[in-house]
Amino acid sequence: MSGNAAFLAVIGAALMVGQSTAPAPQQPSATTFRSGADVVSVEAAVRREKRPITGLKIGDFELLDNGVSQEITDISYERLPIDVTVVLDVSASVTGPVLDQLRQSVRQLKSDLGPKDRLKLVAFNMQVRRLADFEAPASATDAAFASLSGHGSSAIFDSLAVALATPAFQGRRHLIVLFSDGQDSSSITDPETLFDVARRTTPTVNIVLASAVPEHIASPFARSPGRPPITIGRLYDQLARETGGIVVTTSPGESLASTFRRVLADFRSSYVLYFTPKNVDRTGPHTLQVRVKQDGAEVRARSGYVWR
Amino acid sequence: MNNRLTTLVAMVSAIAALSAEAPAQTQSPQGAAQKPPTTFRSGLDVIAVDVQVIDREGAPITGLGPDKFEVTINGRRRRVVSANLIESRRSTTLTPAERAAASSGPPVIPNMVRVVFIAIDCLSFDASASRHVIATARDFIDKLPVTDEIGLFAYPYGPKLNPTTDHAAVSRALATVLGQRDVPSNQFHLRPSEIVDLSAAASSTAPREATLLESVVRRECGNPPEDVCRQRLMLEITGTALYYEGQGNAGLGMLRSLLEQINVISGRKTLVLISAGMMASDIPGGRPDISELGMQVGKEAARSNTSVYTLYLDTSSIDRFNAETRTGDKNLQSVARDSDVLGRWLDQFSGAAGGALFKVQVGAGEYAFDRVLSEISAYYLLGVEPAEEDRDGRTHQIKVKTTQKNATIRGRRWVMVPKRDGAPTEVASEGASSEPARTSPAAPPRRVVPANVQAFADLFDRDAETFQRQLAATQDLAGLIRDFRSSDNPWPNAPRRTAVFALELSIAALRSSNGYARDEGGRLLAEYSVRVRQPEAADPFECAWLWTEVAALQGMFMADTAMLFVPRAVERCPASGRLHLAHALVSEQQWLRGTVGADAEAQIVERYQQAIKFPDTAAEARMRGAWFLLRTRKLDEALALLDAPGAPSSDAYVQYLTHLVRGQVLRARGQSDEAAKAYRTALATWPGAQSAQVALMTLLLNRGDRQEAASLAEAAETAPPNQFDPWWTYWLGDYRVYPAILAKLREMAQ
Repeated sequence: MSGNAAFLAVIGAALMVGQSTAPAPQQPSATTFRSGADVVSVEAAVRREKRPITGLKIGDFELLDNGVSQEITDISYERLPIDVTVVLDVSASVTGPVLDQLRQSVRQLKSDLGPKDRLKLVAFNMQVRRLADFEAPASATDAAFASLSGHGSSAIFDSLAVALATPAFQGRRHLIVLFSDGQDSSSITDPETLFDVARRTTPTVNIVLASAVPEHIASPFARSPGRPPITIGRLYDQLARETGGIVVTTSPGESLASTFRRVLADFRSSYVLYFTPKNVDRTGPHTLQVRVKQDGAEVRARSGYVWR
Repeated sequence: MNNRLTTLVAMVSAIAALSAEAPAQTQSPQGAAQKPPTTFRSGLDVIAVDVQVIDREGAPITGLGPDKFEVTINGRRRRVVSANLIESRRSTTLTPAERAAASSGPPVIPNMVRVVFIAIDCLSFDASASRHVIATARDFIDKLPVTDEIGLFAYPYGPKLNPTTDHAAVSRALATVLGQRDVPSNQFHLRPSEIVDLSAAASSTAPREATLLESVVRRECGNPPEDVCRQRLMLEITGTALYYEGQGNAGLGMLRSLLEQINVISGRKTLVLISAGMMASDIPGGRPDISELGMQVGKEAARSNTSVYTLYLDTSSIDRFNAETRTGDKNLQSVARDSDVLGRWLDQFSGAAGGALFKVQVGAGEYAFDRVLSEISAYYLLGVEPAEEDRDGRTHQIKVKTTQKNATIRGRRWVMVPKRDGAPTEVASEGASSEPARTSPAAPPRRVVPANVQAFADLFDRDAETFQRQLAATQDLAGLIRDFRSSDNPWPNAPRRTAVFALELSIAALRSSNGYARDEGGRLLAEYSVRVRQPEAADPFECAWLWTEVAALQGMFMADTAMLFVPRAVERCPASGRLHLAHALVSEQQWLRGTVGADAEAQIVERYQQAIKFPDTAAEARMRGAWFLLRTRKLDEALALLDAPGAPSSDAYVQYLTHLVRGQVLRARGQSDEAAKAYRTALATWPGAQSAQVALMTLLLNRGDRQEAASLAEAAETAPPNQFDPWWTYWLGDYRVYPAILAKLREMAQ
């Protein structure tokens, strides 16, 4: 694979620049880029007082790559189909009633998807396991739930790394929804490696934390001397920042289905900005800053990407 | 049938017959049937109550008649029918004054045989302290009349002799007793009373307790104290309290066994308990809390018709200069409080048993032994007429007073009067036909095994898997453990089986989400860690038991709890590489939790080095040591450890993890090609293992090879559900083979 071909999937969705309607490609593209144009796509959620601001044009945005202003070549809003990968923690901490709620929530999420959107279901305890792929019928998802029971430890970081590394599909946006209590207990992947994977891949990660205590250590096995252990709060905030996602903490009694609906709506109502980096060294990590020239507008976008 | 009362009644009968010339009766340890001449009085049922009446110097007061005694049962006065002095000395040894007093008063039965048990709480002494007191105890034996039977019970490990008139043999056995004090190796310098007070303070919100806690935290951790230090201190308080609770429970349990054995022996017995104290809380909420069991054992002693004399060799004033407490609080008030904390249970026990506590702070107890000799030289046997309401076969509180001035009464606090339709030999009946004064005692009255304990014991014997499953599903594990501890052993003649049962019970409780159950589980484990010990070197069963215990503790990732037990297991079985490896792993688990000091890293490496010395653990210890060094960023040392000469493991599990760890170390060193190779070798060793797949996948992503990374992600997501990965059990240590270890232990217990 050439250096360009190896360039990461942040750019994957860029192939569809300028297209108003997305095709429905069913073949994954691990190395997608438009020939002759190394286009980067960035998801940007724009809010004012927590409500999406719609109708923005290219000229409303300002985008900096490693501090250098870039020309946005195209913008997309609610046009591209969405692939949602739901990554569910089914370790011992997930009990029967929660599983029932999850089943209903995933069913609800599936019904909230558009006709061209797709859902993949992945469950994990220490083992990551695909329960239903994007093309699977709804009945397969239901059947997969029937086989689930909460047991074992949880390899959250490994499962997220696997979900992130799964190849992007051309012309589709990719959202990963993680549901967990947030504490990893059996991953080989450490937080730093996970962040590195997040920077090198395209999906946005929205995190739904149930019964999580933000001050708790995210992984008892990921201690590094001389540094305080990373907490659940810090880890998932950083992961969300890296990918442009959000962290939602649910409390007991709260409807999981409505939480799932909320994270999907948040993702759906984001802009996709396209640019070809100029006047910056393309190799290595890039920081991104996205602004909107409107008073009170708040922008959430991934904090950077890695170009190789 | 209640043998104690049988015997007492027999003696009342004997005295009632006024057989002044009754010959000395020698009782066998098993209480072989003896038949002194006797007749029963008729028409009046009486029970026998024995009391010692002594003056200020401990000399028996003679010449008291029934009118000098007041007896209440459950607070209600009962008539004293007779009062007879039982004299242990030969009549010729009586002084003229005593003889005159005895002649003018009720009859004296001279030369009654006594049974004297000497019990030594070996865990309370260190070896040097025990030497002097043992010498004094041997002198005590020399002073006892040759007709006295002497038993010896050094616990938990030490000689145990049934009562015998071969005093020389007892003395020789006594000479072999050694103190086995086992002080936990603690980081902080806490006094016994501080452990009690701080354990109470930790669970209290009262300002006074909080102030106390803070002052100790500042003393031990500096001002302002570091959080880690504070956390360690609190763990040490809890851990030390738990440890002493276990030790106390083991000691008391053994003492109770002794009392049950004593119960078999007819007549009045004397128990001389020699102890340097046992840490026990004397305040609400404080720990170690052994008061419940302490009271039970005291009652047991009272029921067994035994005079209890406790010689408390109080070393607290000496201990204040010990290394463990050298920087602790040393003021005299604290020393006095320590003395109370250490002696409290002994005081309670003696009190409940109707005996006396002698605190020995100077010398080796010579005065106390002489005093015991004097006090036990005579006692009164009172014939007491119980009321109908007393005759219910239950235990009642009994209180004996005397109107004699300047007299102290030592006597039982509890009495059980059988029902009328109960065994007829349990009461003396006037007018009854002559009956044997001493019958062969029945089997000792056993504590009942509660139904829940018995049910689990049966299941334990029948089906190990179902037993474990049902144990895990039990709602009230704390109650089950309490019942088990306070009841009789379901397998009285199979201590190993009991030890395995206790271990499984403890582990199930420690795994429980219920705090009370975990507490009881910890206590039981601590207790049986003591009970399985052999007198000298550990035997294979003890080491197997400890390995099973340690394997379970590793698997629970309760490193701080585990560290209460693992170092002792290593001390007991130093030739076990697996225990050394477990020690290292549990230390690392503690390090991961951030509850250890700055010197912990070097200690952990040293412990892995220890485990490397054993052929069966060398390869695994190198691999685990390298992983730890990687975590501490000592990458060269980690690689050197992996490359160190030594036979590779034949265990695919260890092989896989070695390649995986090598990959991680090389990756951290920036040698990504070599790292990828190591991951691939790992996958060749254990095909489909997720950890190596994911490690290789993230490495490839980092290098820009998305295609193979995607293939690995696909392979991980679609692996069969039964695909196992050794990494998943890395932190469990030997718990990964726990079922096999446990099965072997069970076999050894058969």
